[in-house]
Amino acid sequence: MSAAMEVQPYVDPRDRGGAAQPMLIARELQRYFRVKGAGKGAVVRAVDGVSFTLFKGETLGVVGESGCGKSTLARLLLHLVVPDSGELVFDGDAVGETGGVNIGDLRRQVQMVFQDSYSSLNPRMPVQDSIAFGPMVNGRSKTEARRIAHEILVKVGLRPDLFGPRYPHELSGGQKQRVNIARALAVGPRMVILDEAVSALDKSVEAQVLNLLRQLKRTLNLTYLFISHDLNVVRYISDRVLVMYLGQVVELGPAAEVFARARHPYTRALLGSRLSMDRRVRSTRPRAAVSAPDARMRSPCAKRGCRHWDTGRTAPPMSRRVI
Amino acid sequence: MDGHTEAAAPLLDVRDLTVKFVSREATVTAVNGATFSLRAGEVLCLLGESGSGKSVTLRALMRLLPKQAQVAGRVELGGQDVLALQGKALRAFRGGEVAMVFQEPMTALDPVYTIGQHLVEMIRRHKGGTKAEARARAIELLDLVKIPSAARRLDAYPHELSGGLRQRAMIAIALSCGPRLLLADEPTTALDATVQIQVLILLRRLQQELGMGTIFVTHDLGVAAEIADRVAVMYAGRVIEEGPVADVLRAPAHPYTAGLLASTVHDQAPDQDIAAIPGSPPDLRRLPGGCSFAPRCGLATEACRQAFPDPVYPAPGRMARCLRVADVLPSLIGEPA
Amino acid sequence: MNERAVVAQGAIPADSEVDGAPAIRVRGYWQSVLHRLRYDWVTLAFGVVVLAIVIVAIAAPLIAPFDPYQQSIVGRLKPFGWRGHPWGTDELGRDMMSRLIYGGRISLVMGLAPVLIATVVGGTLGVIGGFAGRLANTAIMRTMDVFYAFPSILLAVAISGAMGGGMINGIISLSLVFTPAMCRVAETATAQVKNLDYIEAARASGAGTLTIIRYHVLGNVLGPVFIYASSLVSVSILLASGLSFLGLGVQPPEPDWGLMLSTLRQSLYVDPLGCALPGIAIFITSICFNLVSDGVRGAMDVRG
Repeated sequence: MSAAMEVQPYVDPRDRGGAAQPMLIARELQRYFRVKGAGKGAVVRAVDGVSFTLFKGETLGVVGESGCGKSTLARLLLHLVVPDSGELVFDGDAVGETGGVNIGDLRRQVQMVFQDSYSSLNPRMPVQDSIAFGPMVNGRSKTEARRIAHEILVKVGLRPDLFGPRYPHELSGGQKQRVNIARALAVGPRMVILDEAVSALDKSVEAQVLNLLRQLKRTLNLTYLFISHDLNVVRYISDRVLVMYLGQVVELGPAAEVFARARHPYTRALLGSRLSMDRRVRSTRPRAAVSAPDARMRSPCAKRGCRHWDTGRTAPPMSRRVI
Repeated sequence: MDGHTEAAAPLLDVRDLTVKFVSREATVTAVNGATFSLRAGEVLCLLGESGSGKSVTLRALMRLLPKQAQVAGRVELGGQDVLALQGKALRAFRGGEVAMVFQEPMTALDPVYTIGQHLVEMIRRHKGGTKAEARARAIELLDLVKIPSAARRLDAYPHELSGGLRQRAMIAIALSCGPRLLLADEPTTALDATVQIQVLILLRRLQQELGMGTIFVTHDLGVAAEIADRVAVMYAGRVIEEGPVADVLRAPAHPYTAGLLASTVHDQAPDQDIAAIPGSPPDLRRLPGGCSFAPRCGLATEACRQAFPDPVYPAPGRMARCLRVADVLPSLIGEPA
Repeated sequence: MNERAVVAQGAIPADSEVDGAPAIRVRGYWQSVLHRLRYDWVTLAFGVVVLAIVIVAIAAPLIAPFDPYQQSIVGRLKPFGWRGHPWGTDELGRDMMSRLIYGGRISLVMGLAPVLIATVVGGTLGVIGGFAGRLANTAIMRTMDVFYAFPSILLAVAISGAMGGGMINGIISLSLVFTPAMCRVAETATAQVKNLDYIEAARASGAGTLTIIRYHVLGNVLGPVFIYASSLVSVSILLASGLSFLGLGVQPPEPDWGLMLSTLRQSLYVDPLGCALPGIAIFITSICFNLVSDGVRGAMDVRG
């Protein structure tokens, strides 16, 4: 079980069901995209029957290569992209259904931090306005929202008087990412989805932001869903790890377990492709050549449940193709 | 290949390379007196973060910078003065003597030409010959970089190939004219982990087989450990440490290198903060006087802020530009192997 | 590991202390545009000319030496300086300078009003089209394409011909000509912005579509729209003059440059210089607007 489930002294007033109730339950989420021009009925199975549980106070790492569907999954959880089928339960309430929690409420409690790219912040707005936008949309007055923005800037380690009026192009990558985090925190969420939040940063800046994220999680009592392709980062920050391949979950378990004793061949291939920093340990050949994830392919793990990870038997190798 | 044979003349000799971009608003000194050398058959890694000047250095070596860039210093390839080349000699130089592999193959390859057309054009421009001969050589090259079904792939457009295959194709194009020096600008950064390791292994094997000198730019210490013989660490436009990669990564001599090692996420305990270097890289428009790393350095003294430290040579083949090398190194150099 | 010890030695400055104050003054986008313009003396010079034309037009009653409608059978087509007429008289004895100055008012209105209307109407349609679903987008954009397919002069003439002459009809006609182009520019800009991450973040904050458009889209769309609109002004002045020349725009006895060109045409061999004057006025005004808009576009093109 999650190692991060210590007794939390602070309980959010919106909490329903206490620590025993999972923050989020995803059941058989599915989202296909039509592919134009590649023949009738050609679809990209971006998310193909994903189920998992996210417990309060934990960090669940989601790892996979490009095309595995992790970014689409993130957007499904916020209903920024509507799932074709499957259900989502947030703190005991079904999302999007009558009697459950509506999308607006969900978005007040779950927020997302995007990858630092030039498009993650409005280039024409000062940074404090970008951050204040969320609270303002949710009913606060302009002055109130601006005050919240300044408070959050302090929490992410940026001086509000210096950095508030600045525009995104005047900030470094690390500073922009802190602003992204501030924007997500401004509406006061209980859960934060981090979609490749540190991937575009220099390594030394990445370390700073990771430290900040850990600190914020402690002080604000947050639950994280951390999406990344960087295995080392996921290993460091996650309590549990979920491995995705071609839209499906191929492995799920405690981080230490998955990294030490991976069961699924794809996970093993991923782990085998990690670079060590020791000059003497040079790879001669990666352990398993894995075919490039072309999301139009059907995953070899059939929908009925891949037998590799839930029984632990060694499975026949996946197709060896040069990528 | 560890830096003991001093007798052989270096393949590439770069001395005091300086690149300035002058605009109305500010003068940016992207590269500020970089000095390093490369022997034939050796792999040198230029390691640094954004703003360190590594990519600009690489482009300066191939004369790929825009006209507004002011380049000064000496760059010699096999005795030839690279910065003085003009016209036909320059065109023969680029691609023939020196070739480059870029980070993003999708933008580096022209989308309206097939891979075969790229290769044939390159081969015929530098080596001449008929189309058929060039095509045969192109197929050889694609085999060399282990692209399956090479003949069929010749007629594929860049967007029809996966990221890994595109990068291999670009390597093939770079190698097509047998350059003496291969420059690689973060060629695996945009690739997935499983693809990255394969391309790195390929590059290493090709480099060993063909004996080219290679300069590899990266920000990833793992990549440096995987592929380099020697590493030169750059910060704010200068080379601040240099040495054999195993030694530098095991026992860094400069506080910045030590900080980079400590702050790279590899196997730290999950319940502890990572030892991050505070602050951000300096604004190249207004560099601090003295050592450019001093504002972020835990070991900085007043002397550090006076003037940029001269090179110090703590061990054979190793160089560091720091006044506090003695404090950084001894604690580490006695570590068990 | 010992690297940690090395890094941890000494006083590590806190993050924001190290980052310090910004190197350059904080400048918004429009402020940086103005700052760049300050160095562009060509644009500034022509901008001054445009300003002069506008001021002269506004202050017409104070500046014009004579009444532009005052005819004189005796003093027709007189040369420069005759009896105090600085630029002579036209074919009905009216003072050329006064008619040119008053004509500036009409030409400027005919130039600016259609562009303004087209920007508002076309811009709105474009933003709606860019944001709406595929059906609405197709409906709007393909309707615009129908109008866009006609050459602008032909379309203006056809619409004016159908509606009849007069200044108001002329303005309406030109607005209809420019709207599709503005719509296209706005739709492209909106479509580009729509898929960026910060729009998604705004949606994730709980903002509705109208709020997103107001705060995030308009600011980024206004740039390209403004550039295109400013380049349309010079075209609009030309087209308006053309319409009046053909008799489809302003009607006599109003002093409009295009109309003046038309009526003075018969007197070309008698008083060539006088006949050229309205043409010169059209040319200068149009080209000055054009060059200023080019300069502004250059200043706006650079990001940040």
